[in-house]
Amino acid sequence: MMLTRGNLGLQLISPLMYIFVVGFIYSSIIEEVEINGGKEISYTAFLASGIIVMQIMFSSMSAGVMFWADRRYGMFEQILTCPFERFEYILSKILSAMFQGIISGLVVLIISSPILVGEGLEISVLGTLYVIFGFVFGAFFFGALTLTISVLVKSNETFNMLIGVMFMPFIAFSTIFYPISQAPSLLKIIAYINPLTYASDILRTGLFGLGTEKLLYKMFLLFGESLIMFYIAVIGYKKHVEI
Amino acid sequence: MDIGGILVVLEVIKAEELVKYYGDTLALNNVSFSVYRGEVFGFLGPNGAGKTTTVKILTTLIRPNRGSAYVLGFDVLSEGNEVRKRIGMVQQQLSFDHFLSVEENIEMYGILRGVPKRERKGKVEELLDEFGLVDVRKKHPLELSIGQRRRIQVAREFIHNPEVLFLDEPTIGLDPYARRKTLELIKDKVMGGLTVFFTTHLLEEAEYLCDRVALIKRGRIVLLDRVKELKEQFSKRGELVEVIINGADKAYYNNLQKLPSVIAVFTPQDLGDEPVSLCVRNAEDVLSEILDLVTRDGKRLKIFNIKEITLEDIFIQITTKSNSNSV
Repeated sequence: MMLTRGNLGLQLISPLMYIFVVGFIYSSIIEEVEINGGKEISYTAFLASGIIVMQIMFSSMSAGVMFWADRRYGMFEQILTCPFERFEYILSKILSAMFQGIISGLVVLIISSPILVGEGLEISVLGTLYVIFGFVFGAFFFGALTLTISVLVKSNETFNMLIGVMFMPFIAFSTIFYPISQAPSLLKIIAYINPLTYASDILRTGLFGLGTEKLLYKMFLLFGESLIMFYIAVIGYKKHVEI
Repeated sequence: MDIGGILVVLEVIKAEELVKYYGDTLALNNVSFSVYRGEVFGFLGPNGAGKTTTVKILTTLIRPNRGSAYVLGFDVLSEGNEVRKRIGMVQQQLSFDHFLSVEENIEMYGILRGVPKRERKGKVEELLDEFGLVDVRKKHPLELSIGQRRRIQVAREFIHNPEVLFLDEPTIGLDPYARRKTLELIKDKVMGGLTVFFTTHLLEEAEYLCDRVALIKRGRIVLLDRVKELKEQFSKRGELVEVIINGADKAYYNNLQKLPSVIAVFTPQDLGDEPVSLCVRNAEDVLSEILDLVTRDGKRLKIFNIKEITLEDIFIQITTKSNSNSV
């Protein structure tokens, strides 16, 4: 799947609907949301920053889609006869998906910037680094995850179905739509192992200059989970794709 | 590299007792052969015989369960990258990036093959010209005929000047003209010193292109020789005739085996109007024997042809179950 202007345009419909329709409607019900560090922001701004991460996640799914396209169009084996190592092929798909995720997330960030600016968007070097970190490793994790799924399943149809089923829990058990402090305790436990939670929290810290409480811990976890997922993708590939 | 100096020069491909299982199915059973520099080596066999599996092992796509293989002196198991740098591979399946044009496809392949940018542009132009793709350079593969698509597939493999080219049934789906054109392009490259490992089940192609052939059947190599010598060797065993007897069924044809001059009978799977091949000691003798038989049984000999033995006949004799063990 190539990142064309047409593709990008289509990919933006859903996040923009969330931010500018759902966000504004819900903001009349939920006024302010307290996030880490005790700072309060509007629900629209809270949701917008979460949707940016969700967009990164969806765009990063292209790693698995690209893998299946290579198989379907006969390019998979052809590429593997070229002079590079197997893990480089996997890494290239993940990096390519990561790139798409970052571009797509960046576009949503720019479009939603009027909302974010009105809610105390703070631009600083450190904040920008946090945002970049959230973008890069959020995209890397989900790129590796979809690639892992794509090597484990036997057909493109199963892959599409699994992806559809798997991403809903990731979103539901994360801080995309609501702050973790207000979630029931079982939900909290699941949310704490969900990389989407960390990517959202890191991004919000970077955007709104919130307290950096447990930030290093969250960054470490997101980084670690990304590496583990890449390792699983490589192992899965070796076990299920190479005969 | 475990191979000594002289072997590295002469033996471009060396397979030693390759064994490959897919689950419980034995796909390759102790396959051994060598391919020498500058030759076109045909690897022939019916569908499912193990041809593609062998190519996949030699091009480092899959690993054998046992045995070893070397390409240009590099071990395919432990020095895969060195092998991949020096080979090209045209697989059975048409394979392109459908988002890219013809020239972009070839150029992308140059990038994947690590061809430096300053050389790449010139090489793309050269290949477009050489393979007759200049007029369609801006088109996308799906807009082209199967023959043109196949030409892109072959052309791009020369972007990095490979020393060995693996062709896995490269003419599948092509009309006779496109087939001949593709083979001619490959033959031109062979004149320039390229070594080719060529799998096919189209025997006239093998006869046209190959210096030596190996015939693989159910994962085992059953014969390996130069094409000319194989034909001579089989001619010595007897002559080949084709017959059609009106009103004869398979059982009737199989009974021809009992005639004194017949060595073996090869009946096609679906008899229909197809002739039956007989390997005979002497064509004239067998003609009179068949005529006596059909007259006695009230049938009529419709066709009796004496054939020059082709690679295809040898292939059929080896791969078809005949009612004789003497061939």
